[in-house]
Order: sequence, then structure tokens, then C-alpha cells
Amino acid sequence: MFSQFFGNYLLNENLVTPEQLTDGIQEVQRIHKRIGELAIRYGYLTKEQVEQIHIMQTQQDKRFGELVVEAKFMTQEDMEKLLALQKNDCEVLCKVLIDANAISSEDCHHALERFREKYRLEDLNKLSLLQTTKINILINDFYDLTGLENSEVFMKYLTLLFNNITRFIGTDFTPYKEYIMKKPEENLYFSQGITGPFKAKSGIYASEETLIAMASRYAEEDFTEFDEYVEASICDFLNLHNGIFTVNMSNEFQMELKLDPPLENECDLDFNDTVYCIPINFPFGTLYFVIANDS
Amino acid sequence: MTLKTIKILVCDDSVLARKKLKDYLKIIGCNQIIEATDGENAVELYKEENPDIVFLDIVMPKKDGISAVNEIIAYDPDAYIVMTSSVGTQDNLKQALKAGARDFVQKPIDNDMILKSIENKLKGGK
Repeated sequence: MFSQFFGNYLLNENLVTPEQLTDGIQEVQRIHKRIGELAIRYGYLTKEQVEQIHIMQTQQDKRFGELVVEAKFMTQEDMEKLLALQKNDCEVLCKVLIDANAISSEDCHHALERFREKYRLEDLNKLSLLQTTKINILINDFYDLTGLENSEVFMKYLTLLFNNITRFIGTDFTPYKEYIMKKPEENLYFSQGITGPFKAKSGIYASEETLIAMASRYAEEDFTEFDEYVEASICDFLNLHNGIFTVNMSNEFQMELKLDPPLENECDLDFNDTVYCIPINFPFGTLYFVIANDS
Repeated sequence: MTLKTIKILVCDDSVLARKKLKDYLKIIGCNQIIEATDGENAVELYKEENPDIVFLDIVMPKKDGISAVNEIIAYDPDAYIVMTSSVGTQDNLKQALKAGARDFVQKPIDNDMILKSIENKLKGGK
């Protein structure tokens, strides 16, 4: 997931245009070998074992390598060897952008060095099971949610959100910095409340076309119009993400949270409170994720 | 009772989740499928239709899944209810089993788990 944040860095440094980056990120998604594919190619896992792990990954917030080792399909040592064979996704993005003449090799590699220094990712080439911790650090450095009560819990929420976007929507996105919303967007809004010791409001704003595309990816269907199935898909994604969040909070902190049923097209946000918006740009449009305390 | 004759109540407020589950049930040969859109509707339909197995979501409007299990079990202590939810916390699991649910399938649903639940029921599982 580092390449998406590196993409944002390249944009902010004016080293590539948004269009060049979108094309590049799509190409990375197409060519970057996922660890499961490599495991099959090198004979560590069968196709069935990879599928089994993929199903487990949709239900629990764990990385592929962790689950494979837990399931005793591979030893930790073999998994580390395999991870070392996987090319770092930032390097892949650099190559794609250089090949497309979007940026010079020198500029891209210098930018990557600066990005690694800024986010303390110096040993990014040595991918390992510790990668999860590095993603947490990167997201913590990238976003500032200090305007919220329990901002550290919201940071966990956000880190999980990126994992779930990667798992259920795709990796071809560019994250943008958060901003504080002062009024409702004109786009459609889907929301879900989280209650219990940690109270929060969560939601997604986007245009109809963007929601149709997101729903198509999530539900693995080819939706062409904005109908009840598209609405249900967006609600399902929100409910699934929030559900996994409640499981994480229960397992890690014994904090028992409840979820309200998701709401379609009903904005229940109070803009007197701090409401953060996190835009995430996909080739099909921008999704605006919303988080706020529920006072 | 066979896959063809088993009567199944699918309860989920998501039309997509109901469709996906229904599509799978049809693939494996189940023809008698009833749909409920919330917990209240599930209790009503259970009393009217007496299904052999119920797949019940937890987070739903009007009446949540746990309350619906309590009411269905009060009406029929032998009801065979399988919870399907993304909120698979230990707390929810305990509450559901305590209320009388037989099993818990984490969302997104792994179809093999659905088949396993139905097979357990067909084998006379209690």
C-alpha cells in the first residue's frame, strides 16, 4: 500500500500530473505480482490454499503472510524468503512512470529517497511481516485527526479503512489529505453510526457514477444504473468495514461496540462538531470518506 | 428432508446480501426460499411459514438479529437459526448462541459455511 502514498507525494511535489498518476497506478495494479501469485509460481502454495487465505482475509484484518503462517501452510522463514522475492510496489510505480515518460528516472528515484526518509521507510526493500507496522506509521504521519476526541482510535479506523479498500475495491487509488467539512456535500451520502464506549459517525460521499463503479467492484457485478443494488452495495461495504473494526476493537482492547443499521441518503452529521473528510481518488472517481465523533 | 425440500428463511436488510445468498442456495438446489428484510419481518414470517433453517443478519433496522432470535426461540425452542454478520465479535457470538442460535457465519459469506450449516440441519443437527 506504500505506492499509493508515494503517488500522492509525487503529486504534491508536482513531479507528475493527476492523469499520469492515475494511469500509472492502474498499470501497477495490472502488473504488480501479488504475494499469492508468487507463492503458487514458486510452489509454496496451491491455488486452493491461496483462495482459502483470500476468503479468510475478507473476514479478518490480517495480512496474507500472517494468515498463511498461522494456517501452517508455510513456515515464517519461507514466507520471509517469498516476500523478499516480491518487488516493492513503490519501485514498480517508479518504473511504470519512467517507462511512460511521465518523470525522469533521476527525479523519481530522488523523490522515492525523500519519501522514504520523510516517512521513516528506509528499509522498504526488505519487505517482511513487519510491513503492517510500517503502514500504520505511514498513515499516522500522513493524516492529522487531532481535532477528534479519541483520535488514536480513529487512526486505527483509518488504517483498517485503507486495508479494506485494498481488499474489496482495489489498489489503484491515490489517497488525499484530510480536510474539515463545514457543510454537506452535494453528492449522495451513506452513513453508519458506531455506538458503545467509542461513539462515531462514519460515511461515504460520492457522485452517482462513482458509487455505481465502486458498487460494481465491491459486489463483483456489472451495475449500469443507480438502483437498490448499488445502494445496498455501498451500505454493505460500510457495514463490513465497520463490522471488522468492531471485531478488531473487541479482540485487541476488549471494547465492545455496536453498529446502527446503515442509512442511505440521510445526512446526520452535525457540522458544529469537527467532521473530517478523507478523499480517495480512483480512476472511476473520488470517494469521500467521512468520520466524526458522535456527541 | 433434502436440499430440494428444505424451507429456508433468509433475513437481511441488504437486498444485495439476500440476492447473493439466494443465488447460491438456488445453485445448490434449494427451491423453497423465503426472504425477510428486518428482524420484525423475520419473526412474523417464521410464525407463518415455519422454515427448517433461518439465516439471520444481526445489524438490522426495526429489530436486530439477536432480539429476533430471542423471539423466534421463545415461539419455537427447536428453531434452527444461523447468524450471518460482519460483526463477529466474541460478545455477539456469545449473545447469539446464548439466545439459541446454532451457528455463526462471518460476512462476507463463505458459501461453504452456508452449505455446511444446511448439511448439519439435514443430518438432524440440533
